Amino acid sequence: MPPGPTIPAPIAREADGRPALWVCNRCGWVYDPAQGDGPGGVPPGLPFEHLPEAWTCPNCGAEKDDFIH
Amino acid sequence: MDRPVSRPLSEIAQSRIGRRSALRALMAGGAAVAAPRLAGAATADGDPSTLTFTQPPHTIADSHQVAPGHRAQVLIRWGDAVAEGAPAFDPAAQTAAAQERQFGYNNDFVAFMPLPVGSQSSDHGLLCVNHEYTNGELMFPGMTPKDKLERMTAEQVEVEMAAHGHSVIEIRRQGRDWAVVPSSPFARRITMSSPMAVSGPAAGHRRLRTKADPGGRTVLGTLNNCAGGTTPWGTVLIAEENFDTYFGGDPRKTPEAEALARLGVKGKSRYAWSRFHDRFDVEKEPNEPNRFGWVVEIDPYDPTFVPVKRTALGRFKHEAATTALLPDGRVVVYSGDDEVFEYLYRFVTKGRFDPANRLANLGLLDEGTLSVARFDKDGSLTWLPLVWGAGPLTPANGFADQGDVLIDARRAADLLGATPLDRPEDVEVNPANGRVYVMLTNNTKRKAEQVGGPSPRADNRHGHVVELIPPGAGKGRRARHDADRFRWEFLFLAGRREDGATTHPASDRFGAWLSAPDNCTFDNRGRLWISSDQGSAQRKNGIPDGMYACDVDGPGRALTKFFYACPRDAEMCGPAFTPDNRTLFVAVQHPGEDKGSTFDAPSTRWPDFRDGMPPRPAIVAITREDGEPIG
Repeated sequence: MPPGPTIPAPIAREADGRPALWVCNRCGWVYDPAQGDGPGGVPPGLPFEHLPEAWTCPNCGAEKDDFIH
Repeated sequence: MDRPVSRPLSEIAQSRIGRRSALRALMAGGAAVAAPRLAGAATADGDPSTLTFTQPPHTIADSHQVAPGHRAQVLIRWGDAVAEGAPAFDPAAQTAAAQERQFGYNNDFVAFMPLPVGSQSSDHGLLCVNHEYTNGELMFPGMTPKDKLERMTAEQVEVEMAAHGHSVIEIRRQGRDWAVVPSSPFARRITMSSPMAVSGPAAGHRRLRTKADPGGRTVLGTLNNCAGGTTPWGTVLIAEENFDTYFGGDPRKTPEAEALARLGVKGKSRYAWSRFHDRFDVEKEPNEPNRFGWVVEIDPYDPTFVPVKRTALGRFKHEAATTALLPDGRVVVYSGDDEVFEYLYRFVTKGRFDPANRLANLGLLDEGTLSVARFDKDGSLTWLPLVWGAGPLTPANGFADQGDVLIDARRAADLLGATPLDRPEDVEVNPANGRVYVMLTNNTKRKAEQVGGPSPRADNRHGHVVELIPPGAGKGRRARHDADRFRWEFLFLAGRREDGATTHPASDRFGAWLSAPDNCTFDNRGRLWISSDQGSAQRKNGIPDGMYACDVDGPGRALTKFFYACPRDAEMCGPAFTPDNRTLFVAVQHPGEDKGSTFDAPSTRWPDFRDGMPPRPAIVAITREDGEPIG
């Protein structure tokens, strides 16, 4: 049987509906999905939850789990 | 982030590293073990370093560790009394009123200012200490990083704001121990509720005006002060760094959208301040962030002195602000902008230092020229002035006046073609040889195609130290820190040998490796003392943060030795010697700051190790058991 339509896993959102901004609890750097994480890095458009688990803070190297929103 | 990131300077970097490495190999016989000595080398076992202390274990532990034969005394901790009337610290019942009088959180920069003023006293003085930021989950019970933004109460936010800023305490050495002088008339706390004056070209600027301060000349408080510096006239400079992280609201809805974006203000804070204070919501007060990111001058010898934000030194994420006195009396201030791909700045005063009239120097930092560094292909460095009306700094590019140039110093530096660096943190002049040492902490975001010049490594996890050489630098000479062009060298690339470290090969036998050089100071012999901040890489690297030291001249150049280990999950800050070098003050910041570590279940309870008492950032005074100078 072909797979049916899938419902994406829920992601955190801002009040206006866009995917949430997440802040590094170590250094305060903010991941904004609309911007990605800079030249040569994660392209714009990826919700924080969809970043690879090995992704780290581009400013201080903290792990993904160190981010809060 | 569409600005140019790097230029193809890799061939220069390679040749410069190559030359230095070749020299090292020559000096050490090309092997880490043999290290044959040159004339003047220090010890019988072949150690070419002039530093003779024995290293403590280079391992992460719950408590701190110092080189054998030394004492490490905890002098003052978060919550200890500073101002008259401070109550005893009770972590379970914190109030803002108490915190306003107690030693603040996350001590960073430390300056020892001798008493009486202008003396070289080494057993009596003022200790001036920054309190950079707060860790809510380690300060308050029942909180985790994930829920603290919702759980934080109005009173807890007030406590956090009172735990920021600066402390001035009077200290005295009695026998072997240092003690805080109780009820000192000099003792004071500076917090987020302390009024500050704004001076210099941006004072009163339209973009500094707010509802609470329509004149744009008085700001409440100072925040995220990382390192700092002292002036020849005995004042302290403290440097506002990551101010962006305190602001909520959506910056895209403000007239400051572009300027805020360049500084990383995205409206997502790791603090709950904007829930209780409109000025931390950029939609309600879009100019409030423009009132932070400055260098602040404090006269610690006058407890009534109103701190002054010196706008002439520019606005960015200042790591520090360190000074050098020119032969003609003008004063130079160096400052790094501590973020990946940011710049190195220099300010030169117009006026001259008057040693006969201390207070007459208090306006010196209001007039002068701010410049930013470009590292050139021929191994030289050129200082590019940030002067309104010159080159691209015109109304056509959105700069209406010098105030705009200073408020948007990063954008001005972008247009001038400054060289992006790997997190320029502390920048200090070595009084012994006139050279300037730049700590470049790390930059894991640098790509192979962005390697070059002063940034020789992609994925730079361990950082490096660059040495700037002004014309005239050298022993017993007067370096021209005001010159338009300098030369530069690498002192070393940090890390393990397999990471490409270029520390002295004999470091492997007689010293220790380090990662993430952050702050620094010099002893009276001109040797470099470095504090490290690996952040969350501490566990990965398997070594503690702490103090390291090395020679910068002679056969032991760049042979790094390990001197003091922070407790677990802390970073090392604020190294400061007394004038006689018999005491080294260091700041242990955020002990226990690790994933899952909270007030209720911290990863260490340093320094008290008592149930119910969370880890406490603290100042440590290190002395030698035999009372001799350290090193």
